[in-house]
Amino acid sequence: MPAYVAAACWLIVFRRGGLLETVYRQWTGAPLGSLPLPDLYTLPGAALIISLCVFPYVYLPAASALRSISRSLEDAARVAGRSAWGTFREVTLPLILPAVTAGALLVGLYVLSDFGTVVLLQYRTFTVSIFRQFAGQTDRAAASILSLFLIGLTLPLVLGELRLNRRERRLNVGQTRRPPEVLRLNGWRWPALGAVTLVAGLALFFPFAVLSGQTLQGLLFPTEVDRIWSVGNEGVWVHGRNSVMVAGTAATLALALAFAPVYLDARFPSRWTRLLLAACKMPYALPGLIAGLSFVMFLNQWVNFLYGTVAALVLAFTFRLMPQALATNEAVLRSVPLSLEQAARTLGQTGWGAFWRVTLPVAAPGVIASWALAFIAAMKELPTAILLRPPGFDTLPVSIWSAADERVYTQAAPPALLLIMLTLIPLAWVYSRQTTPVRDLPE
Amino acid sequence: MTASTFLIELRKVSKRFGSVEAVRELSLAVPRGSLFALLGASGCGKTTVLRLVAGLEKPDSGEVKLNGRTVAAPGVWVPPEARRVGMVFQDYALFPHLTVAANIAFPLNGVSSTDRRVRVAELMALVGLDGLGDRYPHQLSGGQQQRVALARALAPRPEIVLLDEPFSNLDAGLRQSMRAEVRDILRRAGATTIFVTHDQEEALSLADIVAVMNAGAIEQVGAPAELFALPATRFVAEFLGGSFFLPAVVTARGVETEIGCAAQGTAWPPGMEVDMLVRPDDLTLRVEPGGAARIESGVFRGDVYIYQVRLASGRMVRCFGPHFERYAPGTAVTVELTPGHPLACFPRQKTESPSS
Repeated sequence: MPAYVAAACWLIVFRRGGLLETVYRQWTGAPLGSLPLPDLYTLPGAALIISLCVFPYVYLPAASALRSISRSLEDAARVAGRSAWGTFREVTLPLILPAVTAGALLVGLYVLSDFGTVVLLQYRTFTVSIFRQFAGQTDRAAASILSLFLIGLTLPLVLGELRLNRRERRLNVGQTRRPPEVLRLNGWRWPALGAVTLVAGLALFFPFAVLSGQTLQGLLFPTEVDRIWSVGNEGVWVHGRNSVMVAGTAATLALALAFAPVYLDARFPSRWTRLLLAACKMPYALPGLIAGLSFVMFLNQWVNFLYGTVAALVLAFTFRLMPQALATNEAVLRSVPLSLEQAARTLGQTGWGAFWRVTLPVAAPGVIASWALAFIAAMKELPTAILLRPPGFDTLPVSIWSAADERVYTQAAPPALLLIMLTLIPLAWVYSRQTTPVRDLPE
Repeated sequence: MTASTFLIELRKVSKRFGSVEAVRELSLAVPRGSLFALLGASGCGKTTVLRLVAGLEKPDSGEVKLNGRTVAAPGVWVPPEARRVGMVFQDYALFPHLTVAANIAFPLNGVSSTDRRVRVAELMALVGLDGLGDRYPHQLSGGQQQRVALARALAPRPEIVLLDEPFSNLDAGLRQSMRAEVRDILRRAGATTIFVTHDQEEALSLADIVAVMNAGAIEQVGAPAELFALPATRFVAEFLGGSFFLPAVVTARGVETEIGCAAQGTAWPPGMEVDMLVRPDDLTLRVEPGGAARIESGVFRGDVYIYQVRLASGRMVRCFGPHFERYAPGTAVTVELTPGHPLACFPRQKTESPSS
């Protein structure tokens, strides 16, 4: 779930004059402003909403790190005289710390480059300032300078993440598996379950319920429906089609483009392929807004005829997706042992034949999974779409965002619901195939 | 009294995992100071026995006593951290986030830092890892990792040391040298040791006492030579050393087979039909043009040739031949039973009787 959708949901319910207050006033007849509501337009408000959306960035690596700890390590600590808590403190925690820290750095990167959420919550961050400078056409130089500052802020996070990843790999010494010991929680059972339910409920079910409710309300009260459908007569379905088209094309392009450098590096590694790969991964460090801005400026300056076309939008999306496509492709290709290809060669296949008849089919499920992940990322992409969409060509995120930005939240709900549905299908597909080697990527 | 002679005692201990009965009413007593091997095929429950002793598994029933103190029984449970045992895990379980020295010092909780340093230095010298204290486990070879695991297990001077398949992760050459070395280290540390292995050669060459396990129960306990010469059950007989059975009949002068007569290590009455346990070294192979047996095939092992020989009855036996000469398949030979010691016999199994 994109954070800007979650933010819109929270605003729908908890803002002044929002759902909660309206219902409360209908029941009690109390005057406007009599119900104490949390102020979402603050640092704690923004922090809570974003945290609920980004916790998988920490949760998934932490969970997979926990799974990868050999049980014998914890057994060894117990035999060496540590209690269950002591074992957790001195062995388990230090072992998952690198993964947790790497996840936290990713969160930092996400928040620094987040754009939609903070705009909706009117919380002035770097990205908001950059956008206002640029959109107001007041000062492009100022926008560029601010962007450079922002990149400067993200760079240490990226480098830190890379380093931790490398260290984590080193820590993973091959170990035999034994199913982990299941602890009896006894009295703690219900509090623990409650905490898990609360997080899942707030992060997932709450926004989903709000969106469904709003959409239903729109459908049941024709005036709202009129307004939704009156937006150029086509509304959500057209935006949905736009989104799927652009995201699908961009995901396909990104994956195809990412294949060559990854394949080269996996099969014929050298200093040059590593350099090439690193260069292709660079956009990862760029917040989406800045990437979009540079694209706009680049098109304006040199290839003006492309500016404001769907092709430009697709290209920009492809560029945005490259790092992710590279990472997933790399994981997929590394999972195909070189020896398979060599075996095919000894059985009389040419290099190309081996690739087509062995490598590709073996890698196919992984490739499809990475396509799905790239597609999902593209579906949710907001800043690039805002900056580069041709006039009248809205994607789902754009229509959500513009409706929410205008505080017409009822209009934001249907496209948000559609967006979630459209991303849920491929996501469910990817997660249902646990055999895919693609590393758990947070939504 | 038993407390002083037997350091580790299990009485009718059972443990099941779901529907699998890993250990069935198993009783076991390990004398103080001995090197005790639990030998069995994988999945026979031997590692579970080790984990029951360490306190990593709770028995469903039965009693575990360490040094005379009951540590597990109905209503009694001493957690692993309070049992003062040292354990070496099959994968060594070295903490990857700690240096070698910190790994070895890990069990030394509540020891002053100077004492700890002295003890760690002592142990590193004992296991021959001087100067590697600042390395991390992943920077060590397999043999070195195993030494660290052993040093860590010995650090708090436990009276009991448990080793789970300690040599299975080492390559063949290293395994040989590490066996002797580990045995030495354990002797010097004066610990009573149980080790688990599926390798009979390892159990027989290393242990003072070997217990052969099968399907969650102990089949036979005894000194290695005793077990090898006179296995109590067919399972033990078949598990230990390239043996095979020959049909035989007990007579007044011994046990008669088609290739000769030998004394029995058992006491079956004359006239009884038995299967005699025979190993290649109990047979003498001679090339003789009129011999009734034929060489079927031969495999060179280095020190000897091992031949499959078809006897006159059609039964196949395995024999050793000298390494400097190769007998071609079809060569006429005689095979004679020349054990030089009593052989174990088991009541004849119908399925095993010859067809002719």
